[in-house]
Amino acid sequence: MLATLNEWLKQLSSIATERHIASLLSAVIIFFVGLYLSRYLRNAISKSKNIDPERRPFLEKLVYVGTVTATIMLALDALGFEIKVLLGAAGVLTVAVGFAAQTSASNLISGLFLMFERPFVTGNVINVGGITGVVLSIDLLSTKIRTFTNTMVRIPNATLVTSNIVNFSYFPIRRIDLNIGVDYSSNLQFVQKVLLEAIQGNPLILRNPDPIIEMSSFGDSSIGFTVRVWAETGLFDRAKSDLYLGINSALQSNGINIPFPTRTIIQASTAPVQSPTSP
Amino acid sequence: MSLTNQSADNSHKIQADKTIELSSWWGRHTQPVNRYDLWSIGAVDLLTEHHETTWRISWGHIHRSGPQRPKRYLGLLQTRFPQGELEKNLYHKDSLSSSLSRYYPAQFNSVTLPASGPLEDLIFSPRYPIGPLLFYFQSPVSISVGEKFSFGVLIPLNLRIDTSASHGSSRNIASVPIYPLLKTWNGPNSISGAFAQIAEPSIILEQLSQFTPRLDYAICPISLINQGHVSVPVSRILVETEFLNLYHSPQTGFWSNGLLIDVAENQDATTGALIINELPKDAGSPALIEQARRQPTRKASHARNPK
Repeated sequence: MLATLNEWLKQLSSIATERHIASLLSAVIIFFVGLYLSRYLRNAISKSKNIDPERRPFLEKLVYVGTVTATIMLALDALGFEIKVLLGAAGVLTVAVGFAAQTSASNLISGLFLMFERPFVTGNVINVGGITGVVLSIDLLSTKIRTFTNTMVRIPNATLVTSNIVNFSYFPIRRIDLNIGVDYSSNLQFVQKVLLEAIQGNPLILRNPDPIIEMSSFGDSSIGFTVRVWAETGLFDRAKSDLYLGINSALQSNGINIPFPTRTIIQASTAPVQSPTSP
Repeated sequence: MSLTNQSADNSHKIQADKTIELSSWWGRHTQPVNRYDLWSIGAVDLLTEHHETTWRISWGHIHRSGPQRPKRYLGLLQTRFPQGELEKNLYHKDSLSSSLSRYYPAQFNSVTLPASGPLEDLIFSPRYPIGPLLFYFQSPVSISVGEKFSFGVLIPLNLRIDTSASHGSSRNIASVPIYPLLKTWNGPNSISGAFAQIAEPSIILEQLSQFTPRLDYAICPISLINQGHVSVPVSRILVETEFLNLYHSPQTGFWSNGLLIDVAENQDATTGALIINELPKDAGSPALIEQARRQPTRKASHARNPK
C-alpha cells in the first residue's frame, strides 16, 4: 500500500515537473517570438514608405511598447498566472498611477493630437510662447526645438496644444514688409520708381506676387513708405537684409535722404516778459 | 570688359594674349595646362583655368547693352590666382552691378575640381535651364472667342561644361546660365502654386520671321487659342522646358517645339499646353540636339501631338 502511494507520488511529481517545464518553455518561446515580432514591426514601420516620416518615430514606439506589453502578458499567462487578476490589479494600479501622472498622460494625448493635426513638422521654424527655433523632434511627451542661439528647449506637448503656435515654414513663400522714411523734400513718384528698381533687381525677391510700394505716413521727420515684397521662406532673412542694403544704396545713389528725427526749437523773444504791475 | 583692370600685384593680373570673336561657343575646346580662357557669352563672363591637377571654373553675370557676339580671350596663367583675386580682376569696383540691377553686386560663382590629366579638353554644349520658365506680357493680352494668337518667347540657354579625357571618358563639371534667372511664384495665390523661373529680360517676339538668330536663346513658338465662349485675358505663359526638344540650325539659330494653349481651359495659360512636334517654317531644317533637357520628373499628360 505504501509502495503504491510512493509510486503514485513519484508519478505526480514527474507530471508536475513536466508541466512546469512545458509552461516555462512555452513562456520563453512566446517571449522571444513576441520580442522578435515587436522588433520586426518596429523596423517595418521605420522602413515603410507609406507612413509619413513625421509620424514614424511615434508609431514605432507605440507599436513596440504595445507588442512588448502583450508579449509579457501572454508569457505570464503561459506560466499559469491569472491574467484577469493581473489586469484587475493593473486597472487599480492604472487609476493610482493615472492620478500621479496626470501631466504625463495629458502630454501623451496631446502628442497624439499633434501627430494627427500636424501644425508643424520636424525642421520647421516655429514660435511658441516667445521661443523661436527649429523643430528637432516631436516625441511622445514633448517636442524639442533648437533655438537660433543653439540651445535646446523641451516644450511639453500639452503646452503646445494649448498655445498659439506661429509656424514660419508652413508656406513656401513669405511676405517681407519694410518701412522706409524719406525726406519731405523728396519727389515721391521718383522715390517709388527708385524703390521699385531696387526691388526688381534683387534676385532673392520673387517677381510674383507683385511687389507693393505704398506711401504710408506723414511722419514727424519723414514721409513713410511701406514696401511689401515676397521671398522664398528659407531665404527670408537674407532677402530682407539684402533688400535693406539695396534700397539704401539706391536711395543714396539717387540723392534721396533718409532723415533722422529732428526737432526744431523756436526760441521765444529774448525781451523779458513784463509782469502786470499793480496800480 | 574688366580685363583691362589689373591688381596691384602684377603676378595676379589677367591679361589676354589673344582675343577671338566666335561664331559659335559650343563644341570641344582644347585648353592646355597652365592656360586660362575667358569667355564672354551673352550676359555671362566665364573663366576656365587649367592647372596641373585641377580645373577651376568661375563665372558671373554682368550688364551688357544689346546682343553681342561671343568672345574668347586666351591667356597664360602666370601663377595660381589666390582666392578672391579673380573676383577683383573680373569685377572691379566700378562694375560691381549685375545684369539685374546696379544696386546689387554681381554674384560670383566658382568651382574647383580635380583634372584627370594634362590632355583633358573642355566640351561646351547648350542646355535648357532646369525648371519651368514664366514669361510675362507687358500688359495682359485679350484672346477673343475663336481667335488664335501666335508669337514666340526666347528661352535663355544654359552652358553645360564637360571635361573629356584622351581615353574618351567625359564628366560634367558645371552648368552655367548664360542669362541670370530669377525665382518667382506661379500660382493663383500665395498658398497654392509652385516656384518657377523668370529670365531678365523676358523677351516676347511678335513676329518670328523678323528675329535675328541668337547664339544664347532658343525660340519657342507659342499659339494661344480660345475655344470657349468669352474672351480671356492672358498675362503670363509657363514653359516647361523638360518636355521640349532643342534644335539648332546655323541659319536660323536655336528652336524648341511649339506650344498650343487653349486659354479657355486654363485662363492664365500656365499649364495644359499641347506640344507641337512640327517646327514652324521660319525654323528651316534644324538638327536635334541630344540630351538638351533634363529627364522629365513627371508624366507629361499634355505632351502630345495635335490631331
